[in-house]
This record gives sequence, C-alpha cells and structure tokens, in this order.
Amino acid sequence: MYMLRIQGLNKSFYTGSSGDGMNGEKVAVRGVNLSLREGDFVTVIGSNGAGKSTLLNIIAGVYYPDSGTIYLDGKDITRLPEYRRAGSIGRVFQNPGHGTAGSMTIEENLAMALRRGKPRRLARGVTESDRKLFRDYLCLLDLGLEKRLTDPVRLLSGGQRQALALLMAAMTRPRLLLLDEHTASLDPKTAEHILNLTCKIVAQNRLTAIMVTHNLMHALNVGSRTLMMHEGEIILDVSGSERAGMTVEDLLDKFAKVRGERLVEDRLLLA
Amino acid sequence: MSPTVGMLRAALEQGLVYGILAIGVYLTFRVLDFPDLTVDGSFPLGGAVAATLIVAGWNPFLATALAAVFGYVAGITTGVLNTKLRISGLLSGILTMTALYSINLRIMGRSNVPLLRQDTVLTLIEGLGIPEPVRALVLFFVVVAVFVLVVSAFLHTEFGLALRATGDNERMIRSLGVDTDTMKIVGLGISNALVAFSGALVAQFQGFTDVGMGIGMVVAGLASVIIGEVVVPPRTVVRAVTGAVAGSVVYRLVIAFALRAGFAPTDLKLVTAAMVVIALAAPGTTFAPLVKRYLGLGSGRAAIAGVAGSGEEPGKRAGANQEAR
Ligand SMILES: Nc1ncnc2c1ncn2[C@@H]1O[C@H](COP(=O)(O)OP(=O)(O)O)[C@@H](O)[C@H]1O
Ligand SMILES: [Mg+2]
Repeated sequence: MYMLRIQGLNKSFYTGSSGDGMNGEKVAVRGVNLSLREGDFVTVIGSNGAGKSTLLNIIAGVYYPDSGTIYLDGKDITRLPEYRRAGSIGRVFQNPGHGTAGSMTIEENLAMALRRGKPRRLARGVTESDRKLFRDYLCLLDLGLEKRLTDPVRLLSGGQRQALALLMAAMTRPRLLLLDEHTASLDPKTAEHILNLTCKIVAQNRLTAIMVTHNLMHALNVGSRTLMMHEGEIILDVSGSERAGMTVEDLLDKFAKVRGERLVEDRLLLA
Repeated sequence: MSPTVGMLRAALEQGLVYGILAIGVYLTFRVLDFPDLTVDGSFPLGGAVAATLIVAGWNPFLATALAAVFGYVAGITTGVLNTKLRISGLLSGILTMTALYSINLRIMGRSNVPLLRQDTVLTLIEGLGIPEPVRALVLFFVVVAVFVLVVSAFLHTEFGLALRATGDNERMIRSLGVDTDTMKIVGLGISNALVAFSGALVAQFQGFTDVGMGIGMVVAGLASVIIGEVVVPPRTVVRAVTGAVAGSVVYRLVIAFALRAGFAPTDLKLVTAAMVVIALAAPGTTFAPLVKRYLGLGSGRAAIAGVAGSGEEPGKRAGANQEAR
C-alpha cells in the first residue's frame, strides 16, 4: 500500500508567446509516475526548469494537472483545492519569506501552523499552553528563538526564518512534507544547519518527505531515494544498494549522458 | 463656550464617529492589503438604511445595527466579485460602489432624507443624564472604544490571525489550510459593516442623510489611517487600531484648521487627496519618519527607530496598494 501514488501526470503552461516555436506551450511535467511508501525520504535533482517545483505544486494542489491522478492514502486528491489538502501536506519554500508572515510574531506564526487544516475559530489565537509548547519546539532549533516569541518574524535572519518555516511545516506531523530547495537561498553554513534540522525532524517524526535540492551531495547523502528530473520527466530513480554505491560523479555522468542523447536526437531530427 | 473650544469639540466628535470608518479602512488597506473602494458607497448606504428605517418608526438602535448588516452585504459583494469572478480588487470596489449609488437612492426614495424631530440614538440617550454639550462626544467615545477593543480582540483570534496572514502572505496561509477567498470576503464584509455603522451614526448626528455623503470617504479614511501611523506607531495590533481612530481625530482637526485658514469647504477633498499623495509618494516610506524628523517629535533615537521600524513595511504596502489585482 503506497501512501502517495502519482499516475501519468502531465502539466503544460501556456504563455502568450515563446521563442521556441511551440506556440507558447511549455511542457513542465511529462508522464510522471511516482509512488512513495510511508517513511520514504526522497530527494529530487534536475536542472533549472526541469519541472521539480511544478511537480511539488501539483502534489500540493497549487496547480491542477492537465491529466493524471494523485492518490494520497488511497484517496484521489487530484482536484481537491489546495487549502483542503493542506491538512496532510506541509511545505517549505525556497524563499524564507514565503513560509512565514513577516508582520506577525513568532508565536502567532506557530499558532497558525498548529491549526493546520483545522477550522479557524473565534477562540484566542495563542494560548498560554501553546506558548509552552512553542518554547519546547523552538529549543530544538537551537537558535535562541524560544526567548523571542513576541518578536515580529520580519526581524529574524533568513536562516532563522527558514528554521521557523520548517518547524511550522512539520509540527503537526503532516502525512507528507514537501521541501523545495529550502536551503538554496542560505549561506553554506546556515544551509547545513537547516539541512541537519530537516533530517532530525523528519527522522524523529518518521515523516514522508520529498526534498528538491540543487546540491548533488545532499541528494545522495540525505534520505533513502533519489530522483532526477529532466524536461518534465523522471529520468533516474535510485534507492537501496544502487544508490548507496553512487557518487556525485556518477550523477553528473548520468546527467551529461541524458543531455547528450537529447542532443543527438535533436540532430537526427534536424538532419 | 469660545469658538475655539466649540471647534475642537466638533472636530473631536467627528474624529470619533468617523474613526469607526477609519477602523474599517484599516482592516482592508492595512490588514488585508486590499484597496477597497466600496467605502464610498457603503458609508451613505449606512446612512440611507438607518434614516429610512428611523423615519418609518423603527428603533434607532435597531436601525443602526441593520445599517451595519447592509454594509456587511456590500462588502461581501466586493469580495465575491474579486475572489470568485476574478475581477481586480480596485474594480470590484468601484463596481459595488457604483451599484450602491442607485441602491441608496432606491432605499431613500430621494437624494436627501432629513431626520429633524425624529428620535435618534442621540435623543434616546437623553435620559442617561449626560450634559448636552458633551452628549454626542461621550456616546461616540464609548462606541469607538468598544469597537477598538472588539476589533483588536478579533484580530487575535484564530480567525483574526488567518485574516492578517491573508494580507501578509497569502501563499503561506493557504498552505496551512485556510481558504483565503473566504478570508477576503469576510474581511471586506466586516470592514464595510463598520463603515456603514459609521454612516448611520453620522446621519443621525448631522440630522439628515444625503446620497452624496460618501464621496471621498475612502481617501478620508486612508488619510486617517496614515496619520494614525504617525501619531501612534503601529508596533502592535491594538496600537494600529487605536491609531486609526487617533488619526481620524487629528485628520478632523487638520480639516477644521484648514477651514479656519480660509479654505472653502468644497476645497477640503483636494486638501485630503494632497495629504494622501504626499504620504504615499515619499519613496519607500510613509511620512512617519519624515514628519518626526522635521517636526523634531520624540528623541533622535526614537526618530531613528521609527525609520528602521516602519521604513520597510508600510512603504512596501503603500506600493502594493496601488497595484490592481
Ligand atoms: N506558473 C507558470 N507559468 C508559466 N510557466 C511556468 C510556470 N511555472 C513553471 N513554468 C515553466 O515550467 C517549467 C518547469 O518549471 P519549474 O517546475 O519551476 O522547474 P524547476 O523547479 O525544476 O526549476 C519551466 O520551463 C517554467 O518556465
Ligand atoms: Mg524550482
């Protein structure tokens, strides 16, 4: 029994015009099939425009696919509005500003995340018992934020904000955690800290997660399975011993090979 | 009573009663980051509903409450146009406002309804023993204080947090499972309920309602909100809501002084618009820090803190407000 099952997913974007002679149609995701078991931690790599973010956005319900089906825990969620599936899906975005509300305080942000997927009542937004819980959670981040519950989030650094966003995405133990290059806009040291936190949180809560990264070393060292996307397709899917034996060089080779094949195909077509 | 004291009292009365409108404008422009122009129609709607019902013999308190309900409906109309029909926020408000002009005339049956010799909320509280010269002042102060407390408390509820997050970071709050369309619709409804309530009280206070009395109300409300941010730097929600009312009072004082300085009453909308333009045009900032620096309000330290504290956010929002969505 798979927890997430994606079948025959396709998604194109139509822009007014494009230089590639394709009537402004841009295929972002092409025939993607993907199944995840509970507890899988999948990393995804691929060059810019490969369709990684689009795939995550379709899973989260930001876009509906042109065709294909998505099952979460056996339930067809393909056409479920984003806000109605958000109870089971936590997300962290690349830009730390996107995952938090800057004008609101740390505790207010956490309180909103604590009610993920639940109705918003006219009850007090942050209670005393919430605060206690938040302090405990924030201690885990090891950034001293537990002493700054009433600071507006806009005062935090990018790394602090991203750590908070990660906590907000994971604190209610969603069925699925989607991380889209969530360390890419941070300096290397901060990125490493956020990545360690991610691994810790995912492991402790036994979360099922998909993490897009541009760092090939992270892609192989973190998680249990690695996908490579190219032009909307999943062109590599490795796990287990095959993955354990892989190096960054192997990944680069695979990548160069796909690109090369494509080039050859193009040349044949043109000839 | 000297003319100056009378002038100050009148400005204070108006500042408080229009302060309810300013709270409504604060909810859309600042909390929801939605430039809502419905206000110019929902304000006279409040007056029209209250005046018509009072003339028909209804209890003025009930008539005022019903005016707020009508304002709520006007607000959710704009919200539905924007979120469900995907019409830009600015245009949605203009459409509702325009439709309301006809609706208000229908409700009133003519363009002006006098309330002379009618019972109003002001005549009904005569028995409470508040001396005449300050009766309206006391009533408006109490009403506005209640609204400041209730709206501030509301913005700290689970629903209120989601509403604020919808204006701050829509993508994030949607990813937490909130239907942001509903948030905008309800937020616009509450805002225009406050505006219509204000219109209903103003009609009873001035003794008539006029179909044209909404012209320029959005801009007046916005001026109040911006002035409020200068007078009471909005470090917390309670301060921001209080600031909207304080800004409304200062705005009415400025208007009173402009009249004394020789401006014709018909010039006041130009004066108001100019005030808002100056506030929004200051690059990357509202004029809070500028005013502080040039008027030398507060210590130098506070002035710098003001620049650092309010420099980024309100400026960014002022820019965002001008965009059609
Ligand atoms: N909202 C959108 N509108 C138009 N084109 C889009 C949109 N989102 C993505 N695309 C296009 O789809 C392709 C895949 O983009 P994306 O999924 O963001 O790639 P990745 O995350 O792998 O870099 C790109 O060519 C991109 O330009
Ligand atoms: Mg991407």
